[in-house]
Amino acid sequence: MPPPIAIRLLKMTASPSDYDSAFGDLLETFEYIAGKEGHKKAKRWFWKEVLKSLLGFLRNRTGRRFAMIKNYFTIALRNIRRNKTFTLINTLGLAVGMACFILITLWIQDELSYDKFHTNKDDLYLLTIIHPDNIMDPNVPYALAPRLAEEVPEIAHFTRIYSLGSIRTCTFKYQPSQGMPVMYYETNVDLGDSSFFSMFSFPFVYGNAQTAFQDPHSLVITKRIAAKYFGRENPMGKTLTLNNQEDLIVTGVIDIPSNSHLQMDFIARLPSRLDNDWNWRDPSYVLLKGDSSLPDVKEKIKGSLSRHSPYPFADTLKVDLLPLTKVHLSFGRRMYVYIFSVIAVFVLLIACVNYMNLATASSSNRVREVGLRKVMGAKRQELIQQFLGESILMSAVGFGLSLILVRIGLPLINSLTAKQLDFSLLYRHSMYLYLLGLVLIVGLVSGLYPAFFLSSNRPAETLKTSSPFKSKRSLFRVVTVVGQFAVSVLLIACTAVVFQQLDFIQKRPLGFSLDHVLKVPINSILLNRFQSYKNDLLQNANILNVTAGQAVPYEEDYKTSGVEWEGKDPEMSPNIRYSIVQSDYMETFGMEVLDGRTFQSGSMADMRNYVINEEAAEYMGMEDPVGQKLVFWGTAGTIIGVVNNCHHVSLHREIMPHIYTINPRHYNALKYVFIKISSANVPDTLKYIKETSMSYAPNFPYEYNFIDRGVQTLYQSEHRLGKIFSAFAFLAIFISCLGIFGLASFTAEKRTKEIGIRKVLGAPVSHIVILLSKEFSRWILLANLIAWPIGWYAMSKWLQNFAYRTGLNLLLFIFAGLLSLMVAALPVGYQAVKAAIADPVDSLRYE
Amino acid sequence: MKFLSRQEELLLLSILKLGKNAYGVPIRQHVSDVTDKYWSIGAIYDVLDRLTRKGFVFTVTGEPEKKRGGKSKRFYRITKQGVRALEEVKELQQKTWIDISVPALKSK
Repeated sequence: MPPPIAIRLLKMTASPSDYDSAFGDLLETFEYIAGKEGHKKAKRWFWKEVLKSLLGFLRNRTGRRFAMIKNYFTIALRNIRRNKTFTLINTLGLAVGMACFILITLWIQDELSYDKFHTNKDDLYLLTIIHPDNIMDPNVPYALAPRLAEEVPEIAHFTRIYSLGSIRTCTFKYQPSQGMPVMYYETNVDLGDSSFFSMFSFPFVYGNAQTAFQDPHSLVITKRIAAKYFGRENPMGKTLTLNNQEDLIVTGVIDIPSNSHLQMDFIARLPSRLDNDWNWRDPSYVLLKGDSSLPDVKEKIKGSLSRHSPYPFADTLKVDLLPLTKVHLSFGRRMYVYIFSVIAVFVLLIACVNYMNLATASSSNRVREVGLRKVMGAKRQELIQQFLGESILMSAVGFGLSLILVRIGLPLINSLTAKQLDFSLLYRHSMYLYLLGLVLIVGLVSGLYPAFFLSSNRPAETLKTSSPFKSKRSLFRVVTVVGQFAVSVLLIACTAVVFQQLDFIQKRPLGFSLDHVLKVPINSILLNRFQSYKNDLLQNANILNVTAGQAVPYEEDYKTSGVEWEGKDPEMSPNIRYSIVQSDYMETFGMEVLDGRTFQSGSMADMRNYVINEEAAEYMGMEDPVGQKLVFWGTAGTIIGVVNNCHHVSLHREIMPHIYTINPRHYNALKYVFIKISSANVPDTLKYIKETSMSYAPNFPYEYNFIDRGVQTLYQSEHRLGKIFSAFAFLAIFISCLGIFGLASFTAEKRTKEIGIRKVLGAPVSHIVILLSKEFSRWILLANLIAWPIGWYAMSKWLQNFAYRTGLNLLLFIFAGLLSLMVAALPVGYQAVKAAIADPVDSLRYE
Repeated sequence: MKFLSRQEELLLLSILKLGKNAYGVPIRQHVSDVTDKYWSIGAIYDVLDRLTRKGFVFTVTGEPEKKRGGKSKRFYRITKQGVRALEEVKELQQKTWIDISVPALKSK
């Protein structure tokens, strides 16, 4: 027998008169094919046949009902023409809602597409360490991956990524056969194992994956870097000199897609000396053989760190695998995908609710039509179909408009999210289906309730009474309008909290001053001759202080456990931040000395001495820290001073105990010279600094930045969130207001006569305005009461991301409430005033 | 006066040719053979229903058959109007093609 579902489908689509004969025909051929080519093939044939017949059958059936459908269209168009405001509100609302939805869909699609372009995407994994508190750490020791590759036969390849650029300053120099050398500082420089390109499939512009990493001096660069150094020349085989020391040969140019979480500018080979390093940690990736079982591998590697690592605390750490395609979303971004999906659905729902409310509120205009149709023999099902058809038509018109909005909105979204989404992403087959589904679902969701509501009227009643309008369905309307405004208020409140927190962060004193401090990347020459370079700079009266450090002071996130002090619990593994700096560091950044002194320039003794912050004194339990002994990375010294607590990392995280050292043994870690200048005559000072630097290190590039600008980047994602929230809050309240505008106009219309009589009897305009706005105000207040606790809960969760956060203020929520009330008062008030000042003669004349 | 569509013409001609055996399966077989294209059963019935409505064919129901799952065949027979409609399109074709030779087509 043919598949029963296919038979049912045939029965549904074929007209009843054709069904028997057509089914017989199909069955006859089915038996014939089954006998000749087998049952399985015949079944497939039957399915194909039924599906392909769909169109023919449907055309056949609708052909006869064409007259009726034509009539539906006429009526729908007449209604559109008669209720211009109604139509405009609905299409505009639906268009904005759908545009939001489509834009967020594009954004989410891009987020979900990360790293899916790799051929081996299903077998690539990131090694992670799971801490006892279940926090996932993407950085593992360098020695781990090679050990695992020996132990676990399922691991085909591994590669580690050493982010050279974040540890050392890197310069690259290209010397053309004639002319000036091209050189720049680069920060996005990584090293990888020789298997890197056999694991990841980045598209090559020049060269190929097989030959790119054959030689230990290979260097692969991106298209952008190739253009920066070589212009239009072919970069293959050209030499780039790293830090004026090491010649690297360009063996490939790649084009890294924007939806790759690995985004390096340069990648060179990683030396094998790191194979036994258990200290430094960076990401490591493994490629499993295609047929290996993931749970088995996970089981095998779980305890590997405690087996191999020389450190005792490794026992508590678990090694795990994270699929490559999940890496992008696993560190904090998934939350945003959820938040935005929910917002997209809500904004769309708000628009659908408008349609429902306006359609039911204006039902009085259609009640007689429905009654007459019923009297003429229309079935309820047919009426429902008619009204659903109308809502789908409306949704289709809104969709057309939304495409224009998407086109306009894309550049805005791109600048908000730093993505390159393109309109052509919509021209895909899967997308056509998705968008068609969107139109249908929006049409159905918004039309279903009105369709049932309108078609439920009893014809005798509707045709009999002179005024068929009854407001018995208002509960539904109250619930939906309150819901709409609750969502809007929620979004406004969230926006306000995000901006308040940003303001709090920006106004909070960091503990140091960044004004007029510029950073110059250090290089080997400046490092070796630092003292005389510094003295030369200080010759200029406008240069106030010169020092050096391993990072800008607000990104000093270096932690160690290698600290000993008197009275320390031997069991304790301390967790302390440290800064490797130069003398005058505290002076350059205007830090406050609370006790003792800072490092003395040129003092040999201070090389082994330490300055600590207040928090460290407390952490180490020292009553009087100055003069106490401290051992840092094996170097014993004395604490000479205590400085104030500074925010050396973003305010997401706590201030920690901090140690400052100027020990020359660690000078390799220094990355920047910091120069504090006076505000007088800045251009000349800058010129002087440039000339001095160039005279010392003519073979290195020179560049500078004022560091106060960089602080903003720490809170970039919060800034984006704030902007996106405010955009959605605006749209949500806009659509809600459209809806309430329509509702208000219908209410006013229905009460025209009442208002007329009230005016004749002497009611003042203000009285009537209040009468008409009272109900809406009540709804919005109710919406606020619902939105506040939800917003309070959500935002207190969000604020937990920050170690330093503003308190949640009830005033903010009241502000959101007042704002929503004020915005809603505009459309309602407009309608109310319009109704109130109308001449009662006009409204009462026809009775 | 509307002329027969090309699809209607095709189906009418096959019904005429198949004579007493003109029901769904052979009609589709014939049309598919002549046009060298795939015709779904739905497409066939769409046109057949139209022809019936316009009165160019009428249907005769046969006996229920076991190999058709107990369903009977529905045979189609051409009516006089059907024959006239065919004649009309044939005449039209001849008139419109009369002055056009194969070389004239190829020169375009």
